[in-house]
Amino acid sequence: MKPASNSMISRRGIVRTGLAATAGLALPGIVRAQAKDLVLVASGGVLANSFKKHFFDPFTQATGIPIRFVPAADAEMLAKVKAMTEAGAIEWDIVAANLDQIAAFPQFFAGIDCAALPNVAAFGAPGACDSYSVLKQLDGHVLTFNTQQFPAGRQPGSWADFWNVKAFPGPRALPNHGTPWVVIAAALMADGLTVKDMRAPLDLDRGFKKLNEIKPHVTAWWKTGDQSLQLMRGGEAAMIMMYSGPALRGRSQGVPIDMTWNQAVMGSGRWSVLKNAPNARGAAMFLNYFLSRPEAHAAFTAEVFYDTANKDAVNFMPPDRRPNSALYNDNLSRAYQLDYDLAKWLGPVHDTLLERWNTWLTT
Amino acid sequence: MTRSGPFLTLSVYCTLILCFLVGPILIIIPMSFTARDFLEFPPSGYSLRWYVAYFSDPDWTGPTLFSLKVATLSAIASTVFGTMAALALVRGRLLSNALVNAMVAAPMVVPSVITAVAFYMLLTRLRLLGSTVGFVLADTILTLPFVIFPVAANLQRIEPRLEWTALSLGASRFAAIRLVTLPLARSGIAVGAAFAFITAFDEATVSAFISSFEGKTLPKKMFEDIDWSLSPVIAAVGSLLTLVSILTAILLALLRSGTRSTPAHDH
Amino acid sequence: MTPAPPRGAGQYGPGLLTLLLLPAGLLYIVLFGYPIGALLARSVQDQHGFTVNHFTRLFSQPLYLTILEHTLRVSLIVTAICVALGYPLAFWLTRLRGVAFSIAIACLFLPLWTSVLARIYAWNFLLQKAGPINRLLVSLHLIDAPLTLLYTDAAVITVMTHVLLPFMVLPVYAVINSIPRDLGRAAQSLGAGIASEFRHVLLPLSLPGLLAGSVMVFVIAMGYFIIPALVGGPRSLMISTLINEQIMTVLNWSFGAAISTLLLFAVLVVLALFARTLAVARRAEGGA
Repeated sequence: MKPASNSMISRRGIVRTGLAATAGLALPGIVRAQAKDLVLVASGGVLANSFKKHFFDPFTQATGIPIRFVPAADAEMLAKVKAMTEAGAIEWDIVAANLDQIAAFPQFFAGIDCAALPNVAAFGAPGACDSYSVLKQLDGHVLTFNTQQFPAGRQPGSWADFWNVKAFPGPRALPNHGTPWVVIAAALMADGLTVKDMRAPLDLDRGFKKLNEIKPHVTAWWKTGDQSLQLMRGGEAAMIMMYSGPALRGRSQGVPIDMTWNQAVMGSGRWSVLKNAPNARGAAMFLNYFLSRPEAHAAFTAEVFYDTANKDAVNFMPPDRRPNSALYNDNLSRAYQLDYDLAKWLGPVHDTLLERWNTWLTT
Repeated sequence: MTRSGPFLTLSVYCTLILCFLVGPILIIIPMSFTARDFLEFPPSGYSLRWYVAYFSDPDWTGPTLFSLKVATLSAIASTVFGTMAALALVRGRLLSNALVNAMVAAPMVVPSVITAVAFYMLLTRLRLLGSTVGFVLADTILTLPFVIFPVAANLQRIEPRLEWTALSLGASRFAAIRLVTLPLARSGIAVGAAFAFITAFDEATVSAFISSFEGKTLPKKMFEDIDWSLSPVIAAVGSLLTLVSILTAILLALLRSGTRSTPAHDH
Repeated sequence: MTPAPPRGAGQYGPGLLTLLLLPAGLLYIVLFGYPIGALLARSVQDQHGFTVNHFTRLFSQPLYLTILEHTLRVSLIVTAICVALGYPLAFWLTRLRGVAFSIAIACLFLPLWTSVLARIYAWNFLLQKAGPINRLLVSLHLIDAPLTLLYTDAAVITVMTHVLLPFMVLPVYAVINSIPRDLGRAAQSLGAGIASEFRHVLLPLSLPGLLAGSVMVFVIAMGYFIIPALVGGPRSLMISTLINEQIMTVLNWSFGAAISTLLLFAVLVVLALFARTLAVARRAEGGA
């Protein structure tokens, strides 16, 4: 990248930040020093600490609205929302959820008026806002490989390569973490579909047929993100489909791995507001605020390797880190980002799909 | 003690089993001293940073103390209530019934996610979500079978006529139970109490559900980064607890030899 | 042998029984039975009322019974291994004294103190292709290439045995410990060897401990999902994982309740078989 254009973009970014921050506070009808707590739910741990540092605390400073954070893993979050909704006692405002979860259970979530969030237009990456949610982080399931087994020049770059055990020999690993559509999407792309062809309904028969080919070469079906990175560290697998965050983190720790955004399957972690949330106004303020300040997003990404919804953030990253970013150049357009239509189709079929998947895996 | 051939064979066999039990735990100790920021074995470099990280982070020490508190309170409650129930089940000859057995075992049998959701809904209604009371109630129920089974097994070997003898000598029923039956069942009660404490201390699924703003337990904290990258602090906590249990064992052994040596004239 | 005490001397009156059962019973019924029952009742409900659809699905799709059978098999294997390892160990413990005893007890309790998660990771490193077990076997020239130890049913059974063994040993130990030592000495003075003492005196008397340990090991094993998830292969799926997916991922609580009911029923049947075995053994013992 040329340094000149670099600073240009940076300067423009800063100007925009200032504008949008003002715009956020000037949301119609919102009193600045609203003291009512905002209850925010996401998985805890390292990611939560980074969100707190770069977004929650600055938001409280800027608006006076305290954020009460509830750590709840993806796994139990939805079940708790269901129980809360049944009891008619909603205590949470914003939850971190995946698009497939939101689309499958729209009854739990309040709609979002993207037009009322000025920062969507100012900063939003593609898909930053839809009728039920705002993009939280761009987490792709990416093709990751061992660079000692596959040095430069002989590296796999697509799911067709992943399936090609002759040209790219070595044990494989795939996720088995409750959302089989991710793996089926990869299988369909290995079978010749392009990113653009991924539309509802997915051809499940075709996907399972293609999966039969790779099944004997899969040494492990991982359940957790930590396990996927552990597999690559220990050399158990030569090639894996894993989350981009742990993959990039592993690489930065010196694990001999690399990944590609090509044909990545992006599930998209999103912020959504619960129906009948006690502090819906504070929630809208937070969502708008969250999108602003690209420098905060870049700092977040530097810590946890996941990109967020601010399209300018990439310009605030150190030049050598930029190519890793989902937001860099055409990375995002080469990946498959789950859209609302496909997510909506997945909702009612998820149950029987899991049944079929589990049957397929165990026989 | 018999020093015969069969006993020697038995000793070798059992020592091997103990090695199987302890071996993996001994791996955790070097894992905790790694200099890298992920779990690895053998470590490529050594440091104390994960111990420092543990003691300097209230998000680790807080859940540890909370788990210790909850596990202690619920272990006390379930040891007392469980021993009472075991007495009734054995003396009432109820335990040979498979259905009674299954009912006693129920908190162990019902899948933890079902228990978790049920408790979540119940504690929400009682406004006890995330509270110490809520956790102690949940863990007491979950650990009752861990007390009832070993205590009842122990009581089944104690002759009822011993209690009857005490009664015929003029003791009240409560005194007979307290002075005759319970001391004879102390091994079972101790085992039950240990199981109850450990089970409550390491319970992950239910505690993940019934926590709220407050009420983060140690297992919940440990599982937090499972989709990111687990911290070697987990190994450090494991090693610290190992150290504590070794020290406790030594202390108990010293105490026992101390109490034994006082009336030791007959040795 | 000794004159029997008057009939019912060991029995407690209904008042005392009620009093003893009251606190645990209340907890079981009010705080456990009621909310769990309400949740499990959803297995025969949908938004329109009563239905058997969830059970129809349970029995018409081969997946659920297959996985139940696999879960039962793994749990019974783990229970059997725990008996084979745990029973002799418990007996041995009662014959140890002093420092040896303290060390042995500490070894039994040590693993219990460490979280299951940390123990799973320890096993992960032990069983890896590049792990110490494989390296040892290769350096001894016992094998040419590293074996696949991780992500197999054998790994699941090994780790479960490691976690559950103390739950077998300690109840058996407590029971054997309460058997008057002079019974064994009497048998020995009559010329019986340690093996014979074990078979004729200890085994029959310690059956309640064996049953308690077996019930605990079996029942806990039936409910595990984290061990099969982290060290098991694709076929190591156990029934709790299916229940978790229904409750937490697809939010089909009715069907999750139906699978749970099936699991509870299976456990009840196995416990009845355990109790029957014990009754038969008792009859054999008391037949003299």
